[in-house]
Amino acid sequence: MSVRQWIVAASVALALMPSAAGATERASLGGPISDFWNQVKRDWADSIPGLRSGSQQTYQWISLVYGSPGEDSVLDNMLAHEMRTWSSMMQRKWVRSMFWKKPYDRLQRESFYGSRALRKNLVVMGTPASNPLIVEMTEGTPFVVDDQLVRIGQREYRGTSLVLAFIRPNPMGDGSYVLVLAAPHRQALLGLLALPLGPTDYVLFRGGHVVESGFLDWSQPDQLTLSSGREINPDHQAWHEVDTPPVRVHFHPAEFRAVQAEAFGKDRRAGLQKLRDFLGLDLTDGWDEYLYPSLDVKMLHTSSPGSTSVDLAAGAVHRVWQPGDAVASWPAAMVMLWRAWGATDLQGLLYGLSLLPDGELEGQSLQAWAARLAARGELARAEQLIPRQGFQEPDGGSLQILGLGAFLQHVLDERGLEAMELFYRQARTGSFRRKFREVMGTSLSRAEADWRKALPGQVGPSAMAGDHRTTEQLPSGIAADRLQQGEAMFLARQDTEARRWLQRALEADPDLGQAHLLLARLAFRAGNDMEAQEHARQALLLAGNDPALAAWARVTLGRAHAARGELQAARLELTDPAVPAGPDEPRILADYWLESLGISPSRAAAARYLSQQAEIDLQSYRWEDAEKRVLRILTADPGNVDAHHQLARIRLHKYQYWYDFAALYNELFPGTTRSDPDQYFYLAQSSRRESRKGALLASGEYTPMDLDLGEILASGPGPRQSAGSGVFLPRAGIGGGQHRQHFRRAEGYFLAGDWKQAASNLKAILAMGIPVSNFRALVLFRLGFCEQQMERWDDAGLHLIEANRIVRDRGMKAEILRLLQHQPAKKAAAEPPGRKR
Amino acid sequence: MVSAVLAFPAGSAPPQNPLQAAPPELFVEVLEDAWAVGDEKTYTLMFDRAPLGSQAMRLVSLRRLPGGEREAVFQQRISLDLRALGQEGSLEHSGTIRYRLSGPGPYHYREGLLTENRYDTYRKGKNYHRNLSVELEPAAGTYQITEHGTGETTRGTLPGTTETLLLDLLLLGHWERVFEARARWPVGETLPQPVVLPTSMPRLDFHLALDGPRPVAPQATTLQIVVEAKEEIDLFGARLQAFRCRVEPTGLTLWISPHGGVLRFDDGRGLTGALEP
Repeated sequence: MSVRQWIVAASVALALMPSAAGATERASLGGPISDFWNQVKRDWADSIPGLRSGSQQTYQWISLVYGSPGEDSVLDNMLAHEMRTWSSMMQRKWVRSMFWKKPYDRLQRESFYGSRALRKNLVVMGTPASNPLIVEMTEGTPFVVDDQLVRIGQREYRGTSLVLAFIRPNPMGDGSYVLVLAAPHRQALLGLLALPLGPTDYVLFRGGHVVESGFLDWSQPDQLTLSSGREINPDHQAWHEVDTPPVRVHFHPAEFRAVQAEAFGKDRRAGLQKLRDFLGLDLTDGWDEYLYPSLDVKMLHTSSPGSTSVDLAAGAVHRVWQPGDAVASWPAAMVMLWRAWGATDLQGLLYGLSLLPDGELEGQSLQAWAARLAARGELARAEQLIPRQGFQEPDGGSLQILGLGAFLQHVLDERGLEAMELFYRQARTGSFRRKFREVMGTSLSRAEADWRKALPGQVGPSAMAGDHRTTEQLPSGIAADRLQQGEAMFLARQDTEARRWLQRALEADPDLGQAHLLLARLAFRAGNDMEAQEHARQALLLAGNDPALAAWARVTLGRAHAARGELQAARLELTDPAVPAGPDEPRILADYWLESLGISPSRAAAARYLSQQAEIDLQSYRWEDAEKRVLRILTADPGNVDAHHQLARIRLHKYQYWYDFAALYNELFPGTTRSDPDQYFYLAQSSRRESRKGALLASGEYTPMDLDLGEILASGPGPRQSAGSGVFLPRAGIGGGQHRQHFRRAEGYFLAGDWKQAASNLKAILAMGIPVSNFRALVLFRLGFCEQQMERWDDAGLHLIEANRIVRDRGMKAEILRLLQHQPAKKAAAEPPGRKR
Repeated sequence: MVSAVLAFPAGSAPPQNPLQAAPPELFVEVLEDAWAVGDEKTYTLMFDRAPLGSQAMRLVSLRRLPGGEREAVFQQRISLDLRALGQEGSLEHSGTIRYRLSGPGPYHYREGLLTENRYDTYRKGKNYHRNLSVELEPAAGTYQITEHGTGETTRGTLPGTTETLLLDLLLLGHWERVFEARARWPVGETLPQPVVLPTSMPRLDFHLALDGPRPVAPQATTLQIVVEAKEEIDLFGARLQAFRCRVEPTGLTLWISPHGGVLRFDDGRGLTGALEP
């Protein structure tokens, strides 16, 4: 989500808000979802001073009502864990807040229904069946959620992985919000942590993909309607379905013919025997397969990169596929295991088991993968891998789980399917180590140690290209001449000639590793990936002690695997120790390929994906990860305005958190800490710098070159210099010192162009009644400026006139008068000064 | 402003009213005002199948000059992540390109190589940075190249005609200008285009360190542009009809849309680009 969207969201929401009634007025409710936390802070600011600061302060409470438990205790535990993690993340948005959490059934049982707790800012989460409050909260809104569908206005969505998030005024409260997170099916809420919330009033997700988002008309808070500006994203509209039981194949008729989809479905059906034999699954319910012609099309529909992804809640597999492509069984096995043996939070175990029907991945046996990893000393222990999260996207870095797959295959061979199934089922509910011992009759560690002993020490070169031949031979005279010619042609990019010379060199001496390497690189350039792999493997066998040859051969092999969609094999080659041991070029190239592995080469699609992931990281307080992702966008495209603003927000977010945290700590434990909240100001400065870059780039007058060379930022004008810099802040003792942090925050938001947040913080300062007139004038002046940006002319006029009345600084006075001239003539004239004093 | 590319079978005469009587694939024809002010096109650049960076162009103004001529002003920016070439650093190139629709105009660009590995808020270092203006008077065959900052100006003459275009091979915006100059473009036909190349095409490769500016050495040449065939191409999953054009002696291949824009290119030396959806 871009800052531009944010600003639009904030502007739209604010434009719909009733007029402010002076500086001390409480802000009205008007969304978007991110304003929920602003409201919590506003409530905090309105609370009794003794309760909001100092060592006796109390939490700002937020109520959370979630769905009552169901029949599946494992799923209940997983949902409860997800909810707790989500709420703990959310309450960090304001360090002085705390969630009061109750399931709906306890709310009723303990007569909390209608209590004061529910009049506060409230989060309602669950399905209509598990939490009837969901239905109550959709009354007076354009939303309908039942156990089958979600309806937004006239548009209907069906599916098991839908999650609707929206914000509305709390019908039980007075000036508080309700944030509703509703899903027709409980399992969909397991993905809660990966849903980016914030810039709009409502958003509908399908498996992490934003299907629809938009704003509400808040003019009648008890009867919200959809506002204009709905954004509807591709969601398999106009797709066709071919039913080849038990597989339902979905495709777009412009991309695939029905006969191709049917052939795909029949192929899948033919592969079912494996699933039955290995995992004893009941396949009568079937599953859905969605076919996409490219990564970009898949990204548009699923927001998920990688050639294959699994939506467990929906029981669907999404694949990039072209007729003739080989199709792996593991995604279908994953869906069927999840459905037949039950949901599990042991994702490593789930994924490891799903590999068993094929017994291999990317054409290589699991045993061979495990042996290669073991040879590199990178085969992790099963007890680390079984509970590991994040394996739903095997493209995203699950190399090590292949070793676990091989171990589970060994256990299956040794103990049989029934024991494996029993272990899976029991491991869901307790200690998987204890359950393994109970079911298998031996400890997990001992079983694993026995299996490791049986791992082959050497892996055949044709399979994994893991060996190096130790003998080194010098080429004969004729071969050396031809090799030299071929190399010269290769460097000149005369590929046909180069190939001819290199093949002739190999005729003279078939053991020329360098010739094989260059042929591999030529084949890769030409798109002949199989040929590239064969030559690269030969080159590896002949590399001897030549580190450059070995490094380039590994990189070429890795790139060829990557180009064929064999991402695990690519990862294994590109991270081989031979690569960093070689020269710089292959090392840098390998790192670069690893970074972009599995993501579309389309810069726009990659940026969209990275930006969304960064937003999710930010929501989960993983600032470093969020920053890394945005930096990846900016490394490829330093002129990306949205990325600059996003980076600014990430740093500002980090600053705010640590500033608030340090301030709170000082208040709670006065005299015991020397931490100064202002020590984090460097983050705010960095944020300001980035947002200024974004603003300058957006103006079209500057290029990334100007900004990177420091020509503008060091001395040139800022985008809104009129707001002044080098501000004198009243001393911290006044007003509990909170004005300083509000001012810093407002400054950050101001520079990021986030007028609503800036105005909110400035209003909070005004509410403190700081008795320093010039500072008050500055706050009023900036507030007026923000309101002008939001076209809230009435409020802007009031604040600017008051600022003009009390200001002593001549420069600022001139700026205020200049802003007043921008006021629409009628509006300014119609408003008597001080009307709302 | 740009051309529309339509082709007709070799050997057959074009019909009287191509828009009505001929199937759309029979002709090459110029369309006026295919660009609106603010329109932007971005190309993903690849080198040896790795994402190298992007090239974006935007029409910033379209105005009428005294005398009734019209001028289009484009801004163009290229960002290259040199890690795709196995080198640290990134290259930035931005330019302003002016076209008089009846003929070529001056060309102003800036180029800088930044040596750091990654983007950084406080990046300061630079390998080089220069600011050049190139102006060509095709009828007189004169050119003037000014390097701002140093005050160095190079003047010279080159053989030229009124049809001569200024063409930086790196900039797709310039190629649009070439296609605009043609009213009709039959498949199979070779069309000569006199051009002045202000700088050499940058050679990108793993063994070539990209650590200095491209030498400014204008040369006049005549490109032979062959519209080879119409074929279906894949642009990030979208399948489109395009005309494949070979440009000799550069070895460049361009795929042109029926609306005349460049959809894809391949320099024959590892560098390719594709229009982003």
